[in-house]
Amino acid sequence: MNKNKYLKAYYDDDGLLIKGLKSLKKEGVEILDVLTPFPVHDIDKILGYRRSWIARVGFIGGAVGAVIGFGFQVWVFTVDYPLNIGGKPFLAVPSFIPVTFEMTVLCAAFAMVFAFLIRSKIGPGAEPFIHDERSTDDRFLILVGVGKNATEETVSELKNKISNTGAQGIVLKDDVELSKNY
Amino acid sequence: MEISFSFTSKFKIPVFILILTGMATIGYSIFVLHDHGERFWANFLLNNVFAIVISLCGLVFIAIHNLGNSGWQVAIQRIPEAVSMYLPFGSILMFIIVISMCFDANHLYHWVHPEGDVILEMKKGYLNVPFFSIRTLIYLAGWTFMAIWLRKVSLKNDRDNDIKYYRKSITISAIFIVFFAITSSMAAWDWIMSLEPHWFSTLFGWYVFSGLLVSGVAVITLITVLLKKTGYMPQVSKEHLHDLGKYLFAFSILWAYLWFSQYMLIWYGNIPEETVYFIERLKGFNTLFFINLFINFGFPFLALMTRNSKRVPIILALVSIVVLIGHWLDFYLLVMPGTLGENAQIGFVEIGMTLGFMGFFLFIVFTALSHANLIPVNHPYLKESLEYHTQY
Repeated sequence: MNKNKYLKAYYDDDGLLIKGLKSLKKEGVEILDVLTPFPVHDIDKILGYRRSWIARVGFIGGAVGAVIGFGFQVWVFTVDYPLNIGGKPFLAVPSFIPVTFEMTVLCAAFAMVFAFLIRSKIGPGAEPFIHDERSTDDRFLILVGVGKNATEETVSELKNKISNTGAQGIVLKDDVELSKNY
Repeated sequence: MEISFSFTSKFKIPVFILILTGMATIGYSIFVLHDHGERFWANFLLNNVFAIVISLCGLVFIAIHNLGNSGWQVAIQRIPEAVSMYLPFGSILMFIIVISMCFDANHLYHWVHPEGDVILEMKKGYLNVPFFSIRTLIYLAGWTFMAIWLRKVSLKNDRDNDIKYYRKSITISAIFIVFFAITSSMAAWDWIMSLEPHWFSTLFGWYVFSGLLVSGVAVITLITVLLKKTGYMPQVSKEHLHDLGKYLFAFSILWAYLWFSQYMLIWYGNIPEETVYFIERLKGFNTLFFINLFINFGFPFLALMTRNSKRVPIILALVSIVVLIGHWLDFYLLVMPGTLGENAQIGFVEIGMTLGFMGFFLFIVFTALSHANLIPVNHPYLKESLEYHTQY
């Protein structure tokens, strides 16, 4: 029994799911993930997830973009290839601002998109791993970790705990692929 | 769920001190200063237009949320409603300016005497005293009428639980938004842009409109935080403040966008009749010109960027105060160069009259707040608003 094992607990209703999640968390059960067909409020609070750092990535990306956009124009128009355009000074700051703005937005957006794709391991070429197709339709899922050295007794104890919370079905799974994701 | 705000001496005393300061300054500026009341009229126009703009934002706030079918604002809806109740009083004060203009008692708008000025004689068909008065009457009467109508429907709903009141308020909002879209631009041309009648900018109405959104949302935020801190609004959570903070942040950027759009086109085009506007400001008001940009764009942009600063009431209130001062300064830069010109200064009269108008404004808003339940109990979206959550 050294494979990664986990239990799939099915729920019919998001209210039941939240209730079950709270009581399981209280009992100290290891929860690997929760899958829902639509966003359910408070799940990340119950699981104690920290806030996403994607905003910071966006800020850094934007700041880098602004510096590159502005700096490049300053270098081009003052050092590399000064051109007299409409009698304006070479360092014509107002005319640099639209490009700086666009570069800021572009770099911030790209930084966030790629950070998200890399961190979530999705994007072109990634192989989808779907725990249960009905979790994209009408079922709510909690994945409960069993642990590598769990005996059958502890598993059945765990199953009891879960079914007490109102789960409609529980399936034991040993999956190699799961270890990649968690 | 009945929470009523009582306008007690805790609020009344500071408000009356503000009003008395204003009265004293007005007396000083009329009777002591020997400048034919020029400084008085310029400040009167500046502060009253600013106050009207803020109170108009209360109406816009309710209208856009009604039309957008949104629910989160219901918990604070009484505040923009109360803010919009300044409109009738602001209209009366505005008409003091218009009437004194008819009797040639103030010299704010020099297109009143177009003789000998070729450009102004050409614009005489639009810029003349009777037409100006009629237009002002239409704007103010329309806004006041709809503000009172919307408020009445909302208060009726408190006593009588029926969905028809909400439907009716949507209809009023729709009419108002169309009316406002036209009149807000025109009022900005008439009241502010025509102070310098030789100059014009097609973007000017939008520019004032963006300032309207920022300063109005700042005032709504400040009153929300004040009432929450004094315990009158237990229903307002950090989530509502977060959304107000987002508005403040976004509208500050919108203001900067429009400011820059106007500036850059004029700078790029470099036509003397357009650049004169900015040359005047860069010469006589150089420091304020750059402070204005920083305080209204740089500061709120950096200060409200993180999620936490939008959710902490004290920080949000602080930013609102700074932005409000900033937008008063913006209006100062819009009004003063065209009226007082080189004699403009921020001194005793300016600050005193601003405080006086603030007192008058707050007196009306607090009175309006105390006349109604602070929670619109029968609003169909009330429950949604009380359980509102916002992630980012």
